Amino acid sequence: MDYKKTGIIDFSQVKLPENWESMSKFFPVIECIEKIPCNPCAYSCPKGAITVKGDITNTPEIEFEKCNACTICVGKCPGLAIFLVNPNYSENEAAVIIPYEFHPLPSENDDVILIDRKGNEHGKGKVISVKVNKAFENTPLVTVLLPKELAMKIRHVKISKK
Amino acid sequence: MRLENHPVLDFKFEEKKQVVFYFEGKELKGYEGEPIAAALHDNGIRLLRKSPKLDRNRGLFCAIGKCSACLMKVNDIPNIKTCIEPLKEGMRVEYQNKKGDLPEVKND
Amino acid sequence: MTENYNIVIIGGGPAGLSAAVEASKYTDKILVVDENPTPGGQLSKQTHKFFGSKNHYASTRGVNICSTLINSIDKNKVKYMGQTSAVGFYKPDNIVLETEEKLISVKAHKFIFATGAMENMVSFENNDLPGIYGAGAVQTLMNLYGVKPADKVLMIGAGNIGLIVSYQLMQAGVKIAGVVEAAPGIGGYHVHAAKLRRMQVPIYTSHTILGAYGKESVEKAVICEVGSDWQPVSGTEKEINVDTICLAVGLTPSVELLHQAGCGIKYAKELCGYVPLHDKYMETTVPGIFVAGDASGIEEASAAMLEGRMAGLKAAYDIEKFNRSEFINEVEHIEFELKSLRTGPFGEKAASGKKKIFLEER
Repeated sequence: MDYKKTGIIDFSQVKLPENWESMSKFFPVIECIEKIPCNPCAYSCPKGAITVKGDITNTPEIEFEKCNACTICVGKCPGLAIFLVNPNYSENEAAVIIPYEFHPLPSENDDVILIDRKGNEHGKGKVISVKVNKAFENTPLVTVLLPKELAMKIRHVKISKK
Repeated sequence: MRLENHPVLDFKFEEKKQVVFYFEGKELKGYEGEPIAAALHDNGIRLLRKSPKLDRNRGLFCAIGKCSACLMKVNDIPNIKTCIEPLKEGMRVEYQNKKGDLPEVKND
Repeated sequence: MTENYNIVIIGGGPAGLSAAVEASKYTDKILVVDENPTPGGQLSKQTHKFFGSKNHYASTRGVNICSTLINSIDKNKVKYMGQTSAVGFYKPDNIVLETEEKLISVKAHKFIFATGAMENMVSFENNDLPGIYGAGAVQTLMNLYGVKPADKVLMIGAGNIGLIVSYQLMQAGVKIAGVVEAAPGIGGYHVHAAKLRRMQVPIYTSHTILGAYGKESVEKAVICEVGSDWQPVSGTEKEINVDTICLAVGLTPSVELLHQAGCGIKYAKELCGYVPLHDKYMETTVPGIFVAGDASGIEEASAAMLEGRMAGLKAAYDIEKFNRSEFINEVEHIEFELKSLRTGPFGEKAASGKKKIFLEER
C-alpha cells in the first residue's frame, strides 16, 4: 500500500494486454487501482471494452481486443488516470496519448520534456497531435513520440522552454 | 493579476464592467460585483486589517463571510465583510480602527 | 409584515439548489436564501470532472453541473435572495433574514437547512498572517473571479480538497511547493495524488507545519516531520519559501440554526462534527425541518445533491400529497444512488456515520 504514502503505484498492479511489447497499435493503460465510486470509462466506451462490474467502486476491467483506440476514455476519466500507449508507433519510437489540462497547450511538432510518475524528467519527446473535444469536457489529448523503453514510464509532459 | 488564459474557465473579462474605487485614498480598478477583497487582492493588497487587541496583521481567510479577518470600513461603515460584499463604482475602502467606529447618525 | 412561503431553503449550494429544483416539480412558493450574491456554493468553483456514475453527473465539470442546476430552476416557483443571511429561527415556523440592510420575517410550512460547512484551522505560529487561506477561499479567488491567488503555495492537507485545489492552483499558473499531511498516508483518492506527483509536486506525509513567517504577509513556512505519536520530531525542521499557505484540513458542519430550531444534535466523528439527527427523508427531530448537504455530515457534492433532492421531495410531498407511488418510486431511486456512493473504502466512513445519527421513520 506504499502508493498511499507516496502517490506512486506499483506498476505491476496495472492491467496490460498479453505480449504488449510487440503490439503496434494504441491500447488503454488504466492506472486506477483504488475502489472509488466511479464508472464513466465503462459507460462511455462505445465498444464495451471497459467494464466496471457490480458495485461502481470496483476497478475497471478491460478486454483489449475490443478497443479501437477512440480516446474517449482518456478524455472522460475524472481522475485523468487513463493513457493510450502504442509501444511500436514507428521503428524507433513509442507513442503515448495523455490528458493535458494546462495553458499554454503544446502545439504539433513542439518538443516537450518527458516526465514519469515520480516527476522525474527523461529528456525530450515530440508532440504529433493535440486534440480537444467538447464530448469530453474539452480535456485536451496530447500525443507524444518517445523512446520505446519509456513507453510505460512517461505519464506527463511539460513544454520545453526555448 | 487576472487569469486571462485559463485551461478550463473563460472569465469573459471584456464583458465585465471595470470600475474605479478608492483604497485608503488611492485610486484602484476592479470589476463591478466582485468581492471587494478580490479586487484588492488583484491590486496586490493582502493586508486588510489589524487585530483589535494585539494589532496583528490580518487578511482574507475563509471568503464565505464567517471568520472576520477581512472586515474593513467601506463608505464610512465599518465591519463590512469585504470577502462577500460586492464592489461598486466609487466605493471608498479603508482600514478600520480596531472593532470599527460607527459614523455619526444624522437625525432629521 | 411577515412573508409566507411553502418551503424556505437556507443555503443555495448544491444541496439547497437540488432541493429547490426537486420541490418545484411538485409545489411552488419556494424561497432560497444565500449570503453570496449568486447561488452555487462550493459547487460553482469546482473546475474538475466529477466522479460517480452517469446519474451523479460523472465526468462533468462541477462548474457545469452548477449551471445546469441553476438553469433548471423555475423562476415562477422559486425565488432566490442573494446577499441574505438567515440570522435566527423562532419556533415553530419563523425565520428572520437580514437582507438589503433590513431584517425581514418569513414563515414557511417546511424549512430545509443546507448551510454547508466551515473550514478547520490548524495551530501553528503566526497562523493569522495575511496569505494564509482556507482552500475554498483560494478557489473563490481563482475560479470565480479570475484573480491569480498566489505565486507559490504550500498546501496543508492531502485529502481530496487539498489534492484537487493544488491541481487547480497549478492550472491557474501557481507553483506548489508541496503538500503537507500529518497522517502517515494520503487521505484523498490516489488518482488525484498521482497527478500531483507526475507534475513534480512533492507530498510530505507524516509532516506538519510549525510556523509561517513574513513581515506583512507570508514569505516562508517551516515544516517538520511528525512521529507516530503525532508530535513534531525535533531536528527535522525545513524552511520552504512560499507566499501563500493553503489550509485543507477538513470541514466542520455548520449547524447553528438547526441548534436554535431545537433539532436533536449528535456528535459523529465520521461525519466530522455535530450534526442533526435525521430520518431517511432528511427530516430532523423537529417535524417540518430538514437538513441536507455538508450540514448533515461532510461528504462529496454528489451526496449533497442527492440529499437535497430527498429533502425537497419529502417537503413537497408533505405539502401537496401528490401521487404516493410516484413519491415512493423517487425516494427509492434517490436512496439507491446515495447508497452506491457510500460504499468502498472512502464511502464506508460516511455510511457508518449516518447510521449513528439515523432517526427511524415516524
